[in-house]
Formats: sequence, C-alpha cells, structure tokens
Amino acid sequence: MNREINPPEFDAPMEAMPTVLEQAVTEIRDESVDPAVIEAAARRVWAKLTDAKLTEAGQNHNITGCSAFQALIPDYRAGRLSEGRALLLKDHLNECVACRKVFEGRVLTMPVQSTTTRRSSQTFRWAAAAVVVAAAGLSIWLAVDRYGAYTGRAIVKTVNGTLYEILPTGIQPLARARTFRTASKSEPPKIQAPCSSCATAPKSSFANAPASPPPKPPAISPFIWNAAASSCRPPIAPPAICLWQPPIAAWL
Amino acid sequence: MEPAEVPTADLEKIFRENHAMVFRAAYRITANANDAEDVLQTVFLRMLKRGPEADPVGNMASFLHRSAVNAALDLVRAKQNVRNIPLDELEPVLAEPAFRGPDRAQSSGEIRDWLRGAMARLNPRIAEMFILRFFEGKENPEIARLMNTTPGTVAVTLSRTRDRLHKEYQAYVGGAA
Repeated sequence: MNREINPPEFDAPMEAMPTVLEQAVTEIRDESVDPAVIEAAARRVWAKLTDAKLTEAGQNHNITGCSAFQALIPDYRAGRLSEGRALLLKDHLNECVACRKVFEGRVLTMPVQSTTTRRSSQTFRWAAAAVVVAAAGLSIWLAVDRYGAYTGRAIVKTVNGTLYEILPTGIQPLARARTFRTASKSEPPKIQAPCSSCATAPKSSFANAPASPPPKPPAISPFIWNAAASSCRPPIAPPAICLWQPPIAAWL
Repeated sequence: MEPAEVPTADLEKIFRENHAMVFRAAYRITANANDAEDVLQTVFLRMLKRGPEADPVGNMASFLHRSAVNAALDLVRAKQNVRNIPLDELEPVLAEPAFRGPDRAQSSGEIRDWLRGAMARLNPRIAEMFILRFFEGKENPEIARLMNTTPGTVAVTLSRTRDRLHKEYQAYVGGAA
C-alpha cells in the first residue's frame, strides 16, 4: 500500500481529523459503479448459480458434508469438475477451515472423530454429570441435616441438674444416651428449658415451663423437663441444652 | 416472511431485484469490482444452498444487505494478509465525485483505503454496525432491529468506534508522517 501522504491534508490540526474521516466516509458512500459493470457481473454470477443449481438437482448425489466436498478436490485440481460443482466446492472451501486445510495440503484428510473417542467422551460427560448430581445431593442432605428444621436429631451436651421425661404415664428421669421419637414427625419433642436464655428452645416450651416441681404431664408427648434448672434463679446456671432439633433427641 | 429454502424461480426474482444493491454494498467495502462480483456470487450461492431447516427470512432486502456486508468484510479480511491492491486500480469504475479536485485525489483515496482496512480489523459485529450506518446510510433503529439489539447500544457502539478510528487514524498519520 502506498502510504505516501499529501502534506497539506495531514498538516491539519488534530481537531480536523474527524472531518477527514467523515469526508472519506462520505466519499465511500457516494461511490457509484457503472451500471454496465454491475449487469455484466450479474449475468456471469447468475449463469454460475444456474449451473450450480442444475448440477445439484440433475446429479442424483447432492454434496453433503465435508467428506463429499473433499472427494471433489482431486477432480477440481485436474479441471474435471463442472463449473457448478467447482463453484460449490470453492464456496465451501471459503467457509470451512478443515476442508481448506485439506485443499491446501496442510492435512491429508479432515480429522474425523472416531466412534471410540466419541463414546468415551460421552461416557466421561455422563460420569461427570453423575458426580455433580451426587455431590449436590450430598450437600443438600448435609445442609438439611445440620440446619434444616425437623431433621430428627438433637443432642443435650450438658445439663445442670436432672432431665425428666414427662410421659402420659408419669414422670421419669431421662436416661443417658436416651433416644426417642415423637408420635408424628410434625410434633417435635419438647425439651423444657427453664429460662429465656436458652434461645433455641421453642416458645411454646417456655410458655409451659413449670415454676417448680414437675408439672402435670401435658397432653403432648414426649416432654423433657430440667428440674434443677427450672427455678431459673442465680446461682443456678442456665442449662446448656440449646440444641433443639426435633423429632429425635439424644441425651448424652 | 420468506421461507428458508428458496425455489429457483423465486431466487431468480430475488436476484433480479437485489443484485445491484448487493453488488454496490460489496463494492463500497471491497473497493474492487471483481471482489464485489465474488461477494454477489457468494451471497446468492448461500441463498441457493439454504436448506429447509434454516431460519426463514423476514425482510429479504435487509437480509441480503447484511449478507453482502458480512461476505465483503470476510473477503477483505482474508485478503488483507495476502495482498494489497492499490486504490488506483479501482479508478476506472469509480465515478469521480464533483468536489474532489485532482490535487486531493491521492490523499483522499488513501484515507478511504485506510478506512476500509480499519473496518476489516474491527470486531466483525462492530464493523457491520459501522458500515450499515455510515456506508449504507441506515438509521440506528433499523440497524438495531437488523442486529437484534437496541438503538441505544447502536449509538454507543458507533460513538466509541468513531473515537477509536479517530485515535487509530492519528496514530497512522503520525507513523506515516
């Protein structure tokens, strides 16, 4: 490209440069071509298009896929290809990098993905999907088990005094490592906390907290009550049972 | 809406109605009559090869216009690394604008040449947008509709592109001076 410039034009201040570009844009937009040139080109192109269409329609083997186009390359090189087919091939070579490489001799044939590779690739994809699904499921299960409500597990780590289990049949000390279930999943077991410092205990439990000696067993069951801490006055420390996750509780 | 696969009779009608527009659009980008003819051939050959599974065409003229711009840009990009055609070769088919004096011919042609080269170096979508707006004279809303975006996006993109071209041009002039 000739990059020699005309000094008067380019000595203009920088502010004038956009005007120069605007001028170039305008010139490009206003460029006109002799209609005779266009019509001559159109006649040639239409003749080739017609030939290409007839070639495709007349010969009962349409060119489909890269391998079909690559099969035409030797005939094209030898000049034995009809103009229509040559046109189709040239157009395909313009838009297909793989076939262009074959045509230019950079590769012998287009690399075809083997069935085995494809199959193993699919297997890998399925395996990866299965791992992702399993990991997601495990994460959800762990999250629900740890944070979700009604996951079925609560542990009393320490207690100041004795815990009682209040049943319809009577009141009895809660044995160590005792595990029990409620009658239904929707009805959690109640651990009776003596004061509001046990923030995780349900409000209904506080409302039913007895002032001293064990209350009459409520209709619900089971019901756990901490007798020693129930007075809720210093120096008796509040119970350290702050884990309340129904419907199963374990007293360790 | 035009069907995806165009029968030969319809193709002939479409070709007759649009070939000049396609040729001119290609010529404005390639600045070469032979290249414009190649683009014309490419655009209609692709029409011919469109299968029934292809998306139907809404506005055939706009579709062909875009196709011509893109095919011409592809051609210029492909040629940029192969050879550079002196702009003088194009003069016989160019109509001389009235305002262009003989003393300005070389520099003006060189700027056009630089601008066409810059189009080929731009991001294809941005180049298409710029060409549709400034070479082909389409309005922003129409470009937005054609390119499935908003007029605001078109306006911002064009403004940034002009700034970028301005800077590149300054660098080019500075380097060439």
